[in-house]
Amino acid sequence: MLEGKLEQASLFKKIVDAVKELVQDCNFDCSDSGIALQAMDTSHVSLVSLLLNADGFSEYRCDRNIALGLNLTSLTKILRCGNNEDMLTLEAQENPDSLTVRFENTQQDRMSEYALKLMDIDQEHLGIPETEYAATITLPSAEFQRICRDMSAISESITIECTKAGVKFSCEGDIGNGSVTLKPSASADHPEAATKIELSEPVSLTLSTKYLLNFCKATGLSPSVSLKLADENPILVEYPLASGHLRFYLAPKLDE
Amino acid sequence: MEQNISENRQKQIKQTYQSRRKRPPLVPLINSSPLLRSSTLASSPPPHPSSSPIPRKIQKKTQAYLSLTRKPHRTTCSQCAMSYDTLSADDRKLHSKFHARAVSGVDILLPPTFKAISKVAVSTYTATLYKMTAQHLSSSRAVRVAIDAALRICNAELSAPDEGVEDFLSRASSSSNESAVYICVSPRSLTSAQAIIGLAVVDRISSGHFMSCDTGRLIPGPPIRLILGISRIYTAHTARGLGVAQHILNAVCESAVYGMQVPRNLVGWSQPSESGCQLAKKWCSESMTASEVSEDREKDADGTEKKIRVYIER
Repeated sequence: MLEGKLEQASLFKKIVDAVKELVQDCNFDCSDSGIALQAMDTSHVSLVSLLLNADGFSEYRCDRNIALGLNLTSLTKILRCGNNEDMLTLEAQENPDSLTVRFENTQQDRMSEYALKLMDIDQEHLGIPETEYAATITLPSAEFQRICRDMSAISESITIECTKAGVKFSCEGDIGNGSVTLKPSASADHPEAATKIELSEPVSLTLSTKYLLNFCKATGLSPSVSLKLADENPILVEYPLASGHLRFYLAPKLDE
Repeated sequence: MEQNISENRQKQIKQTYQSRRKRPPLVPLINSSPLLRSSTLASSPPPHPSSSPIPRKIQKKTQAYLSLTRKPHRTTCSQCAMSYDTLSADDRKLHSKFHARAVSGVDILLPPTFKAISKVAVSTYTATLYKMTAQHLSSSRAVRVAIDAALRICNAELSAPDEGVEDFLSRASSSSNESAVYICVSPRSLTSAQAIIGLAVVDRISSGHFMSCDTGRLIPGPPIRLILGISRIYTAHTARGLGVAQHILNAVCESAVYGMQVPRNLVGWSQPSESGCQLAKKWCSESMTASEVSEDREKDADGTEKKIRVYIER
């Protein structure tokens, strides 16, 4: 049996909102260590990997491993039935045919319960090889979202160049071009507003703006985001969670 | 002198724009990353060539994709039998378009001036049959486009030469064989438009031969007299097993020759497929009047003919 209680439904809502842009149906793999999700988009250009550790839940119990095959559009409809501040409980039996979603308000005088039918999804486990990244950039997630949003108006590709001097986001489109350069900065009062760069060698990747914008739907989950880059390798965009992470991998665009 | 300078200047400008218009060729990717797979998918369609000059050449890049699954990317649709690459957005789009047309039929908007030849009950609705001659096809572009799409799907399913309406029209104009396309159209509903659920291409012919259904070979003998030849006959997947093809054939016999009901034993078939042979046998055996029974007919135990009449299409 699975029973996971989250203090605020908003966390799960935001996660599902961020993932549903890339994947329609996927398995939530529940085990005693937490809930994990791994899925590629239909074009196999990007991959999303979620880990919600058991200690991130106020109460968590999973007696045996269960794969919950869910349609994320349907799950969103159910999640909209609860308020962001409500307590959210996910419940499933051993061989479940549905997932029970329960909302309790803060005064604990209103409780609503919904059952979402599960799907049989034939999903292969994807082994992600370990990669040595040449650069790791940590920046405010809102800043990253703004850069992607601004550049999406100009081009369908963004080039991220990381050097010792800083990180440069640039784009070139039919109407013109643009660039944003961020230099490493530190703020003692607001560490989440800092831009940090760890670099072993200069690196440059060109990426699809459309996918990066989809990743930015996770901005509300974390004040900072880290971008890990290696030449001719997929970029890793990671939003750290209180207990776990939401990672996106995106294959780059390469020279012909 | 001034004229020469002006000509040189124009030549220079022309050369500059020509070099800017030249784009790098599409080449497969070679990459070293184990996470990535080489791809020939274009990152985006090339900009539409326009008369206005392209201000600046943008270096074209190709989208790589992740190689983390062992599942094959190519798949064959069990319903429409189309093979396509599941990773290619273009392929997926092409498949969904073909699939919808092959399974549910090609949408058609018929002008009110087109008169139906008959109406038949198919499943829970009433379908309408139309005879389309070269005149009809020349008069309405929308009809021509829809029938062309239906003909091409029919050809693809029958593994026949990919001939569309233009080929049909040129054949009809070059000879006096009075070819016609018969279509069976489902009614318009709240959720769907009118669609071509069945189609037959019919030729006027004069003679043919018998073919053995068992061996698929022509039976030696003198040519037999035939009036109509079924060049193609096809039913959309969702309308199969509902008698659509037989309704079309009945309509063909009634309306192909003005003022005459063509007997079924004067209808021949062009290179019938296995299912075509079954249809021909069943249709010829059903409701055959005594006058249509000829001496040369042999029957199986179940009452269907062992041989069918075929003709060689020109």
